[in-house]
Amino acid sequence: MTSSALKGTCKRSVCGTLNEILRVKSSSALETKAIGQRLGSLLHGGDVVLLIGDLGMGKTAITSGIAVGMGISQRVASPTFVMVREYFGSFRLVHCDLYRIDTTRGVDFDDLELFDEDSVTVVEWADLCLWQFDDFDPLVILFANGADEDSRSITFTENNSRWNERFLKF
Amino acid sequence: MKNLILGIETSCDDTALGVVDSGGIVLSSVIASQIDIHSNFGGVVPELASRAHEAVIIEVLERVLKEAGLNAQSCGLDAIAVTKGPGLAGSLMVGVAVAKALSLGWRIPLIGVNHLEGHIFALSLEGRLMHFPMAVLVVSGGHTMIVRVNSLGSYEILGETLDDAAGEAFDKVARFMGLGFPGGPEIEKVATNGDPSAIRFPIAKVDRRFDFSFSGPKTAVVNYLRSNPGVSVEDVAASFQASIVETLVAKTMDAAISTNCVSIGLSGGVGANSLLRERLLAAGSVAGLEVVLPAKVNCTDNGAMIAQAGRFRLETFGADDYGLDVEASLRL
Repeated sequence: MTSSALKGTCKRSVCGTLNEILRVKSSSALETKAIGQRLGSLLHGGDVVLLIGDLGMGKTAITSGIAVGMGISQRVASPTFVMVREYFGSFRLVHCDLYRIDTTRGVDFDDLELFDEDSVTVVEWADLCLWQFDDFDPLVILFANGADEDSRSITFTENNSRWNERFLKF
Repeated sequence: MKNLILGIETSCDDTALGVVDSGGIVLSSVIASQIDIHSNFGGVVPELASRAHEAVIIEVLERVLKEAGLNAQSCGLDAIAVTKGPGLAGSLMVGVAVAKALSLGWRIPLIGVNHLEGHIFALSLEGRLMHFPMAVLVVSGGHTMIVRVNSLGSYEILGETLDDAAGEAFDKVARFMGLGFPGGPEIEKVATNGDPSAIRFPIAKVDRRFDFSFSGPKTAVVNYLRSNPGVSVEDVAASFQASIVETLVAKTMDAAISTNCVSIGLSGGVGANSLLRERLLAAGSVAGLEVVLPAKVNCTDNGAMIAQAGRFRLETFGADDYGLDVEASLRL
């Protein structure tokens, strides 16, 4: 799929039709990273993962785990300022962060080569332009506060059943 | 013979060009930030940084040449240095493409520069002397690291952030508190009316002594604000700033002393923070180490530092050829 597919004018929000696959609890950033590592080992080229959650919920922590699960030894640092960082393991990991971009009218991803069959693309702060990712059948991970300050509720969701089967191994 | 070098920096948000002479004197330095661009264009369709660089780089070039007393026809420059990485690939490409075109057109050497080495060379702008070995704290929105500069061109990264950069933590906390962008200067402003000892925010533990972690402290502030809605924003800003500055200064001093450095340098956007400058200067004085603080405008991303690093590379390693390519993940 080319990135121009993202330019589609479909405004339907993925969010409205999300089906829950699995919900897990994490009691620390370290545990969130371990969950990411499990997920990373299930990912392959062409996968798109969207991370939805407020500041400090563990979006970068889960991505650093995904990298480990994909056999990447390099440390994952926050991509907020450079917006995109890439790493190479079993597949290319593209770690993208839209925090600093006004996404309300969508983002022009053309020419950025963020999505292809050999890459796993993880996007943080895509909350306001979720509709742009519809054609990728993304795995959408929702983060919420847990019982105490350090714990989180992490919900894996999707808008069709592409991911459900893969999570049987989770 | 002034031997002028033009430096071009487009690795992140700012389109920054500068002209520097052989004594490291900045003849002109022009910086167009994307914040300005967005307001000038009346809130354009949001897109990633490269188009914004494209939109202004020629205008910035004309201004920087004019302010240096040069013009595009007769040129008068001796070389062109450009940031080749690290940064956002599309943004870097704009700078590199313009640098190549100017180098070809004016028939002057082209030099690719590592952005981080540029920050180190900011310390030698305006005729400042650097004494080695020097421990340099490079701290900005995108980077936080302590580099041991053994001599020019010889670097050792003693420690770096494991997650968020310090400037990023400032920005995110500022936005969460409803302050403006960029967050560092906003927090600094609000903090002047707050009590830095009001709240004790935790300092992250890391395995390696000179590494940093600012994700935890950022989350701690967010949690604190959530559970204490009535708290004084001034106190939170002052306490948060104090805790970040304390960590930066303590680790830099520790690194400098334990690796036998004779001086300390500060560079990067957060290097413009007054409290950090003041504390580092004081700590250096206690330890008997010289502290080099570039002017605030030379701490943030700028073209002059790229020109300055470019001169060193040109004299030491020669010019690059037109195969020069961007390296988004370039290390120091």
